[in-house]
Amino acid sequence: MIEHTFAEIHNVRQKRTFKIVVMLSLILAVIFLISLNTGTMRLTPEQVWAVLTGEGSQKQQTVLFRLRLPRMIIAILVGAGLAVSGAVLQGISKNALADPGILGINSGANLVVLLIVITAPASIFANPFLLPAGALLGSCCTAAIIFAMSYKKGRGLHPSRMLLIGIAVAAALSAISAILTLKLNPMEYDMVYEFSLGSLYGGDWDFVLSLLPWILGVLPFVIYKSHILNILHLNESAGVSLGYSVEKERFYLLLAALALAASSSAIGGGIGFVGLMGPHMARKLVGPKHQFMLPAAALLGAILVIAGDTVARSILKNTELPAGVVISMLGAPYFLYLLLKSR
Amino acid sequence: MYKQIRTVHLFTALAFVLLLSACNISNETASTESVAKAESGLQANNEVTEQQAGYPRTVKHEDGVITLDSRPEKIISIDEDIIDILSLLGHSPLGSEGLDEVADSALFAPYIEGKDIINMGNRMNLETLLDMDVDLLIFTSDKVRELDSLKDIAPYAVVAGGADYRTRIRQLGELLGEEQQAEAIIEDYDQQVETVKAEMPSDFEETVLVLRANGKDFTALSTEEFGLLFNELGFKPVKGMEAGGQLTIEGISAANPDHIIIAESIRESDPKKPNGLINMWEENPVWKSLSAVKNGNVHTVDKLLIEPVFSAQFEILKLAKEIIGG
Repeated sequence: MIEHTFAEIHNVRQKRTFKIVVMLSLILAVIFLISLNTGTMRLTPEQVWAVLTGEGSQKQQTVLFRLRLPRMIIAILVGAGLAVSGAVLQGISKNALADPGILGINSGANLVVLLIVITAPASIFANPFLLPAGALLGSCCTAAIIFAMSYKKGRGLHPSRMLLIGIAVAAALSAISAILTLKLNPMEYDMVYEFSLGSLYGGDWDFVLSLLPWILGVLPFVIYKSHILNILHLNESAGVSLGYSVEKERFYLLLAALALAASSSAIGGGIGFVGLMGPHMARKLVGPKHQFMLPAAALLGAILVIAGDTVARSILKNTELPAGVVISMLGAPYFLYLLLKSR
Repeated sequence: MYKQIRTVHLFTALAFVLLLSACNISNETASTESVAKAESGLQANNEVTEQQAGYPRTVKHEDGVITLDSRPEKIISIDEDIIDILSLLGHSPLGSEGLDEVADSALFAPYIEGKDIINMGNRMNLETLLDMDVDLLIFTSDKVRELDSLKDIAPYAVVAGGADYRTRIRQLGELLGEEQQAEAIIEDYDQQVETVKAEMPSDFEETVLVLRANGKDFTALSTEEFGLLFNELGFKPVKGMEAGGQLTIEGISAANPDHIIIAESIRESDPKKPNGLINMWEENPVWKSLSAVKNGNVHTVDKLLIEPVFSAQFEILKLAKEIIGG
């Protein structure tokens, strides 16, 4: 009888989740269409349609296929990656304030980007993959240091210990970055500062292709492991009694969170709040069960980043704002609301 | 359910913000189009034959070769530091990145005031750039970070950056069909350099330290960055400071130069408080104890004087005269 009730609750939740995921997908589709039609160069919906069907002028094709579409797809991938990474980290650490920053992703990426800017000749920056590759390297190295320091023989990887070590390592790396920043000339400072704020400027199909395998490869894996996340989030001993190797599963999930966050940050820079807000909003919509929450978080993250980037590239006529700034401006009030509400 | 409705409202608001942003851009684009039409009307009045002299031409630049069918008229500068040279060659750019950095500089005022140069910010909007139908984007080799993002949008050329002013002027002259004017500018510059060199006493041993005031600390410029003073005119840098670097006030005290040339950091300066980052040290006991301060040998200069700007070199020559004369 009790099992039947649980099944009923599960079914109701599944139906509700389905509806919400469909609704979020529709919202994402609407924002995608708005974004496709929005920019400093005016294209009417009819012109957009003409270009999409193979007509339109060379200039219109450049706007759509070279400037807007790849960047919008990058925004969706980065948003989904950061939000799901945040959800995984919050689940593993049982800390609702955890986000990819606790793995030192942003601080490690910033430090390596800084080192590249200081040491490499200016001509090398014409290679668009230099900074993303450096950022990826910095993220992974920092995360590896945090993993190694958090691991205790016999006790494994303790989440709260990892959180504290992550905060300490990130603070130390930020301090080194602050010292190195003093060596920068104004132009170099702009470059590093923009990366740290988060920006999708100049994103093209090469970036899409370099990010796509990470997101498409890791997202299904995380969703597949969502039942493990539920166990880790609630009661680890239950996981042990069910025959799971909790330590191993936690390590795999951490690696997955790192892969999502590091690849997203390498392309999008230090876009903040998405890893924090996406999971929170998803939890409010579909509840805490990860099999329901993760798809919703991915969609919400995608919506936040594509909306933020569309405003960032369109609101000023001659220049652009870093997308990370716009997302923080949109997200900070909501996050404050969450904090005040939970008091 | 109420919570879900609220969240959906949040996203509806987000979509509304996007729509507003789209409407805003539509209006602005309309005005850009009318400006562009007016500009093309003006261009039609120019002497076509004069414009086409020497074109088409193929020009080798720092990142390859470009073939220009006609003299580029709509030029966008990716480095604000070349606006003065473009202006001296008679081709002020249609727009430039980094205009905010030079807007309040007295040194640059003759080259930007009344010129209607569009301020493209620090990251120019790619769609606006495409819409402008630019003839030529000009980068310097110091500022090629955006090359990959911009090179598909308009023809581009990269000219020499840093303190290599002569090469930069020649390259710009070649791109703009103004080789003679470029040579005249270089000749005038060389003459002025030679004049100051001739006035330079052979036994002048006083040391010079060039500083950028950042607020809490200073950046010493290297002899390469300030090549005219140290390498061409032969002024003595402080021993050990040839490569430049970060300095605290104690570091300056340890270096104890005979002369200090100091300018505010472009990034940190406040246009409402001219020289505020320098004046803040006036009451500092370590600053007051410096030989250069005691002897009145602190030379406060325009912030562009310590940047790789060609027109600043003439001010450096004046300053050099002042130092050897003082």
